[in-house]
Amino acid sequence: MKKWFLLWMVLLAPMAWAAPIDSLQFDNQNDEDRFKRLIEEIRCVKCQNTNIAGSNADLARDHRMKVYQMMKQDKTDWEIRQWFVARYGDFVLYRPQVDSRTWLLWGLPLLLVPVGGYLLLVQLRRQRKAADSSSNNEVASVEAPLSEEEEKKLSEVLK
Amino acid sequence: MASRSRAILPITLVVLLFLLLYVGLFLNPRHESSDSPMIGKMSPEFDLPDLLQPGVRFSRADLNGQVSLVNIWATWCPSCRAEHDVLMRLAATKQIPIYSINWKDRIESGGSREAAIQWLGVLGDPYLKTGDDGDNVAGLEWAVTGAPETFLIDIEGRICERITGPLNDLRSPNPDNPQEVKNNVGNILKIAEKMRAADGRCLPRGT
Repeated sequence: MKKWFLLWMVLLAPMAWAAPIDSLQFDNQNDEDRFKRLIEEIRCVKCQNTNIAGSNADLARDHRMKVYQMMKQDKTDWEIRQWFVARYGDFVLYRPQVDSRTWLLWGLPLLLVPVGGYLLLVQLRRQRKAADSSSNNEVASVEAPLSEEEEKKLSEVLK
Repeated sequence: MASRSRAILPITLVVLLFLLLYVGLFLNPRHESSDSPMIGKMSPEFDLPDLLQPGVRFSRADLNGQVSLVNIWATWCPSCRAEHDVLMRLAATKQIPIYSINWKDRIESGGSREAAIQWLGVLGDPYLKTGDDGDNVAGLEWAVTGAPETFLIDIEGRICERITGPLNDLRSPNPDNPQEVKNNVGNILKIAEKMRAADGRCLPRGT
């Protein structure tokens, strides 16, 4: 009897670790994908380093239900995110919104790519110029005829 | 000489980067309750059945015209039990009206409505009214992230302060660090006193 009970417990154990599953009904695949996308990017305020999609916390479940409800009320993604931001602050979103405080964060990569490209171009040009002039010097030193004095020195050395 | 001046820029950048990372080492990576966007805003509309008095409602209208506290608690929350003694002592001083929202006290959270009623019966009731918010309807509007939590409300119903975690008075040293004595209650009473001395509205932030 005890053995069977233990076996049963062992078999049941993995269920305790299973990801949270809510039995929610969606009208179509699009809505379900949208729901999944939204709960992926909203932070669980109870357990701060995970999103509400991956959290078993009671409050995270309430938040998933709230997202579901708001979708049923035909709220836009923006309105749903705004509902959370108004209550918990910007930190509730995993992807910060673009506004007057975050434009630099979002814009900096776009700004840095042309700057980097320009610097690279300048550097390449400078190197090419340096290479050209040094090869010119080499040619010049090889082909320039020796002056009379140099000829004299050379013959002395070669004696 | 030219090469030395050229080296200054990258070295400065690296030094600045290290400074930034060094400062970051000592910053609190957790989100602070004082950052809550709810502070300074009107308290949300809510309308809950009173836990103890059948037919009575607890709503935002109850908060108008006075500086008050709204405490969020649940029977499944051990810190709320610790806090309850402090609330009883605070209520006995009659210095500030205390209301409460009994939050998510349902089987799935590890509590129940009956347990909540019993809690107030046995331990005493420091609250003027207690809303029964078993389904986290008002809690979501108040942006409650956990119990206990306490809000200081001004005479117009605006949220002035939000305290996450249990209220402590001088008799409750910080369990993690007995040297440190937290005194949330003292601070709240001081702020409430200042508010009443002025026009009863929230004090400007940072004072």
